[in-house]
Amino acid sequence: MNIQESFLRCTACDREAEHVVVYAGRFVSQIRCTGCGAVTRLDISEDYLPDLRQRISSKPRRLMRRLRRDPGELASSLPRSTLSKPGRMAAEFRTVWRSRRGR
Amino acid sequence: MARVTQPRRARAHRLHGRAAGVVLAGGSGTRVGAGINKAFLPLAGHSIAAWGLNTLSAVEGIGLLVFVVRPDDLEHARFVNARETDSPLEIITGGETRQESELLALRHLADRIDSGVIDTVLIHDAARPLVSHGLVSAVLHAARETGGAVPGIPAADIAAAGRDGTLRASSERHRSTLVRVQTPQGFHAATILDAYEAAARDGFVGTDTASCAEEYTDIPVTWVRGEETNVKITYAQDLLLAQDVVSALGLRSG
Repeated sequence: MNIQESFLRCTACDREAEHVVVYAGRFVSQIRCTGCGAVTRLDISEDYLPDLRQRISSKPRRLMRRLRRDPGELASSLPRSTLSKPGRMAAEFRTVWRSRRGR
Repeated sequence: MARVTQPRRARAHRLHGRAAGVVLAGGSGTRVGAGINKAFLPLAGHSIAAWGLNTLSAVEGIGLLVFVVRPDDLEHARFVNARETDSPLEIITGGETRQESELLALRHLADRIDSGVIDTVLIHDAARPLVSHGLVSAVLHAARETGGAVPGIPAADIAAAGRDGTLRASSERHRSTLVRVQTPQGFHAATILDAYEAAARDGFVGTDTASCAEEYTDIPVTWVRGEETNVKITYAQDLLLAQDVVSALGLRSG
């Protein structure tokens, strides 16, 4: 799960305000306007697994590209990102589970 | 003063061509206390800005990319350059306004424009991630033919709003003459550089590149048909729309 904040115009209150954008993998699963509190939730459960398969299959190629471009950066960041991966994936699965319609 | 960042390593994918792509991420979505500039929000695995940068870099004829960012966003821009783009970027810091950022980008290219290495400049909003290769190619071609070109969508669905909340009648003839202008906007490089320098001397501030060209050059600015999917991420829902378009078109980021 990845949470970002950025200034966007709100569809509900039509004001520019900070919005909290929640991602699960490569998908936006929720957007909340901090100005008026309007929340948009998306059910991404159907799209998530096919995309996860694509992410896994493209991982070796993406790692090789990083290795070619900047081996030092990859060597320094890989141990930490590898260790934190299980926790990040668990948070991602929880976000997808919560995004399911009817919950 | 603009700062330049050179890529650490040469990329396998080098650009070839005499046009320069300038992508502006200057003022979009940043306010005091805000998180990140919306141009760096992720969209299907890559930042919004990276989508447009990669599209421009894939178009034949575009030989270099200039990425204009705010000083606070330099770290994000370097990440985009290192991890998300297919071709190396020349990263510079922009000014307070869009026009100042465009001027700084053109000054950054001035030596290469004067020497003829660059003949055409395409200026694009980083907040328009879904521009297509075809549209960029069409603008580049038209700009080389006429000196200046912008993408536009005929605004047949526009109505004038009255002060009392009602719609005012507008003639069919009037509607047929309006277009909603998008980016990238392409111009003969030397001409648009001169125009921006003249505008800076006069203190003229236009709404976009085309407005400055219309004010300070004689080149006819033509329009090519834009694309409904070339949306500018302004509303929060635009991000969801862009995500749906990426999924529907089967676009991949990695």
